[in-house]
Amino acid sequence: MSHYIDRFGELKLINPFREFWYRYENHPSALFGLLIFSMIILLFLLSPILAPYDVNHQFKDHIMVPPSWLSGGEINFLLGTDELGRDIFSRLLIGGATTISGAFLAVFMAAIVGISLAIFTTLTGSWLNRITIYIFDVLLTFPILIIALLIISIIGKSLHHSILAISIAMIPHFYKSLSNAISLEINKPYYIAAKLDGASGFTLLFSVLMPNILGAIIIHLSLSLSTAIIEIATLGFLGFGAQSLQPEWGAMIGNARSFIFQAPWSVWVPGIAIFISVLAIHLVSNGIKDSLSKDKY
Amino acid sequence: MKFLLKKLAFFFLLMVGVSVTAFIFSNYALNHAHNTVHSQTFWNESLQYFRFILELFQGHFGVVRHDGSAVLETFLLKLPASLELIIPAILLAWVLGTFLAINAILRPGGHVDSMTQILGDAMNSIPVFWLGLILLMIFATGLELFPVSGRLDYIYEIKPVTGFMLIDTLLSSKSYSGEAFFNALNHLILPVMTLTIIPLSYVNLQLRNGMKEIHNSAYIRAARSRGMSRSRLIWRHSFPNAIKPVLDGMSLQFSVLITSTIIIEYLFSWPGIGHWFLLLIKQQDFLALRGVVILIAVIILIANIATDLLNYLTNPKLRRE
Amino acid sequence: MKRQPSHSMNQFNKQYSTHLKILTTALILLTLLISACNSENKSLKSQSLVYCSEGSPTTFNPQQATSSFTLDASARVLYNRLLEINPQTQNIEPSLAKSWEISTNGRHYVFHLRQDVKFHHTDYWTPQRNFNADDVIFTFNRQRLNTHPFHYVGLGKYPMFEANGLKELISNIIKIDAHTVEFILSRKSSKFLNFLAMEFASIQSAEYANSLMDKRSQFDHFPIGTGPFKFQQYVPDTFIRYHRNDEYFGIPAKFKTLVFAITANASNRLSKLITHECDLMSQPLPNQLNIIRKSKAISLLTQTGFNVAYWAFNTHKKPFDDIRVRTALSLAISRKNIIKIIYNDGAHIAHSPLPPTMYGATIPLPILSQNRPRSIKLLKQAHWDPEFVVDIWAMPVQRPYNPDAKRMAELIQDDLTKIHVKSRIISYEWGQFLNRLRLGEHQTVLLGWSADNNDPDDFLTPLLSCHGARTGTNRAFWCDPEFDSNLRKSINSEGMQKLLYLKNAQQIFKNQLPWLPIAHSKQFLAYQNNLTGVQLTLTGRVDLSHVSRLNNSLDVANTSKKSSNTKVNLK
Repeated sequence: MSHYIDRFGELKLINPFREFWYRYENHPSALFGLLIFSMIILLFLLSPILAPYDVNHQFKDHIMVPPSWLSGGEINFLLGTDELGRDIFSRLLIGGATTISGAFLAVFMAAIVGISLAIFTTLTGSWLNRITIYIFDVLLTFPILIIALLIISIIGKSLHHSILAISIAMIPHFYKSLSNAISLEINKPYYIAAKLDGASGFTLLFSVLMPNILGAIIIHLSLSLSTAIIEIATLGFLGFGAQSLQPEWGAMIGNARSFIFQAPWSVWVPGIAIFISVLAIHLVSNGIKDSLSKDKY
Repeated sequence: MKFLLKKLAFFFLLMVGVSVTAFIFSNYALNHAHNTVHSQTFWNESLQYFRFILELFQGHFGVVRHDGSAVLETFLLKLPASLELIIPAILLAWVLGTFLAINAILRPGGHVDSMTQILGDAMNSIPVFWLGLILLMIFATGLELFPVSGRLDYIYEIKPVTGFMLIDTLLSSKSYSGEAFFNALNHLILPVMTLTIIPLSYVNLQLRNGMKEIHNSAYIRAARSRGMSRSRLIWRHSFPNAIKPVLDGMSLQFSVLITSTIIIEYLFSWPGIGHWFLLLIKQQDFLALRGVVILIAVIILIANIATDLLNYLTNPKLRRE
Repeated sequence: MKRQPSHSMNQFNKQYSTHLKILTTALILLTLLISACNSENKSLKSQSLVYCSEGSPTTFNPQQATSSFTLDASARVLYNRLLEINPQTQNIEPSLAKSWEISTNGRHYVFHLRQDVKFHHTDYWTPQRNFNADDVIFTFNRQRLNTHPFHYVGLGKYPMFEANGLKELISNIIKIDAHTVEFILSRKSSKFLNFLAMEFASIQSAEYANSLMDKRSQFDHFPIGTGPFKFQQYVPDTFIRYHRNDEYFGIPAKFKTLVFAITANASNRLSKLITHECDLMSQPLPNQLNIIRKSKAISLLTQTGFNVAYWAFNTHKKPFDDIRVRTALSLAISRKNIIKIIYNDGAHIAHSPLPPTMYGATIPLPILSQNRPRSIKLLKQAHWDPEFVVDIWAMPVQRPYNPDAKRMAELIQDDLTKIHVKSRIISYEWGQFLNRLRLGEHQTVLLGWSADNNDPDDFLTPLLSCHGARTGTNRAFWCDPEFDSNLRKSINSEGMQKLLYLKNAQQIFKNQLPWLPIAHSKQFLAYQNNLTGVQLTLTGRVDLSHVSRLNNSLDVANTSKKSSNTKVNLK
């Protein structure tokens, strides 16, 4: 934390939140990302109101209508319709809510389990710690997609199962990164000092440890969010995630593949949506990482 | 040497864990599929596990359910197809990434540099499957430059000797072997291009940042002021030091590469390991998956050891440990 | 710290950037060169024909096949028949039989066989003799006699042979001499010669069969025939490769290698056609037709289809044995929608099982149009259980009569929801699908039929007769004695009498509704502009033996886009 000497010659600490925000404000791409991201979140919170049509309603007279700015498009169907006559704009909004909220859910579930496990095992016994690290190292040899696919092969294909599978597959990553951060913190002088002073477990945990690893947690959370979105979309595309009735961006692209000549916009539009969302999250997480880092900006 | 031994020890330790995980996975999956309850005692199950390990050492990794072939055999048959994608992708990513990073130093802010900067950020955020689809739409069906799927046109009968199509076409005794070689190359370009982009953006980003930092650091500037030539500076000093953090991230990148390979093999109907893995998952062939998962882990761990070795060789600090 | 780059550094800069530019241009040129090298008139590519087909054949024996892609991959590529039907004139022409005589009572047919026909010489078998009468006898007795050593080999069933009643029709086959065969029929039949030109009458080698007595299953997987191409290799779901038969007795094929690139997804097929990986593509989807028509490099072959797509109710299962239920469900469906969405208007609504261009198809019968209130009323009368879930079986493959059964099932499901009927869609892999249907596991199924010739009895017998219910081709398992008697009478009569019986039969069908006939689709084949001689048979089978490529670039430039409609001369 930064400090300065005020006019009375006393040492003053800058509120860490204000400092963080000050540094973040001066990071142009991160601000831009934050703007986009908040717009996206707003769109999805409002999606049930904004979506003009029911997501599963098939307009039998308007199959594969191009987006409104192309010839043949209609203003009623802003982004066109897909092969069964469903409005892409509505599906994009609701599907985005599905994809992104699913990603949030997956990441938070994984974070809670991973972080609590990390705290518990790293702070308590040594052999428990070693074994857990070993188990998670074994799981970490596999990419997230492979573990998620293996889980789905057992529990079946559906959107909820894919969220669960990705969540489980991300736990080892959270554990590892938190475990590293915590073991670094444990050896810090102020931590040892507090312990020697006789601080109780809870005080150690919440007052000393948490504030310092919070940065690592937030960074990992934001990076995992973008990974989760892409993984959910990938599972949907491969046919192991959301099935065809559910509007999910990856599944929309997967279905659109069979109609790539007749309705290329049904491939472009959800893809661009995924791209923008993930880019926004990347920019935000890069901004957070830079703002939290110890280097002088 | 001691380094290598240490790495091998880790390898075996992890493989034990992987085999246990695979074993538990397949048992649980089969119980779940048949709606049976786990009824075996721990002792029984451990015996089963050791029998399983014994079979692994004998080379029996299981049998694929839908066509009865041996898992190990089919895996080794399909592995070259995947490697034919992965190896060129990694090489290209490094070569191009290095060039672009050096260019970023020599001409910072030039149009090549700013373009790669913007593209690099973008490429990290694009889902691989969508990127592949778009490239297919533009280059294959759009400009009609490349074919859409497969490794080789079916009219060519090439005997699989090594499993690498580029080598097998040249080794073939048929009259059209040269033609087939170019055909195989044609089929290879688009998937490799798609696969290269992800590691390329990573290598480029890391290398560029790393080299910029190093190149502006005190000792480099001191050397420059002493009149050392630029090329020597870059190749002898900045580059080797910048590589280290990139190599560190390579094992994570390799994970991403494997995932991307699975997706690209699906997109391009490329008959490699990824495509086969997806098929087994779809068929819920747990016994075969048990063996395949272990084999995939072996490949990943070997790649990790290779990266560590590379790291070790280029980093004198590690050598002194 | 800003510094002026010294002279040497400037030089290095320049050198480096030129190197970079050279490298990038070299890479791009190399890529373009590679793709260009590949599309030139290279030796093997110009002598090969690649056909993108939509499914993997279940066998190479056309006797045991009913799917169009199994027939396409075997009958006209590998084999010949005693007679052929000229697709333009519909006349019967000699093929393996050079002439024949029919006795006055119409029950004795004597065929004189060609003496110069050779069976395929491959790396798995070499023939020691030419084609002769033994081969004809083997071909038909295998299908006819349960005692024949090869009868139960392979898939073990001969659906077309049996459904057309040939088992009862042929009472004996006699070898008169090495090149003369006599068929003795149990009764007079005006259709016998037509039967001999159909795919299931493809002539196979008795000598090959004899050599395989220890491993009979090889017979249908490594086929031997007399046709313009011989089998080389088959990788399921991937490709079939054939080589030209240089000893073919007819006009030799123009290509040294023929490949069927098996691509189940229609969008992938079109992609491969566009990138020149395939020269022809089977069954473009209706909504791809606009793109094909607009493309300057691809031509489209259109033909009126001899087929029907239907929604069959398994009358052996409750509640589908109740005619009120069948009528109610049929009245709930909007067929106009289906034609628009699934076929992109490339089909006609089916008002009868018979396609409208087929002899005997009657239009002036009351037309079934969508009527939801009546549906609901009928269901109430039949005490329909609102919790009952209707199983709609939809096939996973694209067929000439139905390009997308799954989507059709979804549309039907939608229509059923509007009359408060619950339903679910069931599908299996194609081979398994057909097997389960044969066992009668389904409640309702979306299926269809493509005709082999312009014969309505031929069409109706396997689909709706009691005999068909026994052999399994009658998917509704519907057996109505009055319908059968009308059908039988129609087979034995001609002219106005025949039309009358056919009309009665169709009326009975309308009253009973064992199925809802949905549509008769058109047949399409898309191919590269530089090909000629592409044709479809009357029944929609693809015939590649006369295709050739115009190699002269001048010819290609002058070839205007062809969109030929083969008009079939219907008697």
